[in-house]
Amino acid sequence: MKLVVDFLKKSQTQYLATIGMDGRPKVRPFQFKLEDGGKLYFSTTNDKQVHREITQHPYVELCACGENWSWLRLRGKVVFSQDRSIKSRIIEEAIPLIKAVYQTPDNPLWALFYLDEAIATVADLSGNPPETFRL
Amino acid sequence: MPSTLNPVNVVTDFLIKSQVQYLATIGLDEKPKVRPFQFMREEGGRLYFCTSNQKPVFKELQKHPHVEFCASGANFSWLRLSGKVVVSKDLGLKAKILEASPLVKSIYKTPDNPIFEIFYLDGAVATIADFSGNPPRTFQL
Repeated sequence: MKLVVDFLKKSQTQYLATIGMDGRPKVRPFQFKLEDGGKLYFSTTNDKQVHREITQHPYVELCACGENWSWLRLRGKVVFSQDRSIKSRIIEEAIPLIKAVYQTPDNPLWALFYLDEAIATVADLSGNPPETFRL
Repeated sequence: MPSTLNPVNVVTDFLIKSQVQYLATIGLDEKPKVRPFQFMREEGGRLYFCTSNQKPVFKELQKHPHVEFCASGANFSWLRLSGKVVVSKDLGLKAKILEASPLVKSIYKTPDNPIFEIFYLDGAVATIADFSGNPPRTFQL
């Protein structure tokens, strides 16, 4: 878990792939928020297209690049969370931009989610086989 | 008119500067997949990429040819590029791609390597967005 969390933090930006409402794949930049209790948390706004997509098709995959041509692929099932304490932690610890956007943990537009059944794979061009982690 | 105002040139410049793009496909398990990818070249208004037909991604885009790429640019801008994959057997183009990329050349060696595949996006649509407050720009390629 620590290796995956460190990879996500260092990468700064991840790319979230979903199945669109038209049945075709969609991908956009995303940002890991924090790990808590072994769960990897992300968030979005519930009036965005991506929110409709992950509600309809909760299985998603994220990808990020790391050092030395390494990359991470992280897949799982989106589970929405109403945990106010996690939102407070994100506002306090994680990212100033989030506070600017949502102001408070009670903002009804703010949708928090984590990945259930999460599996991460870290690979590179070294010729070594990818490492897989069940989180 | 400066050539950079041509939509194909705007998108090609963005792809080249981004260095790495992320290709989203629908997996054989019907779940979304995404991995790093690298734009190869623009030719005749078409955007070309390459892969090996031994990889899962090739089987995925044969089954579900509609795909989307995403890449980041300067000043927190990002590009989303969608279209339908069309595989090309053009050996001359494969040769150009090999000569332009030492990494690709090291993997496939020759244009007629039977595992070496190139493809372009048909009906491609690109969107470039940022946090400036300006609306995203959409380009039909």
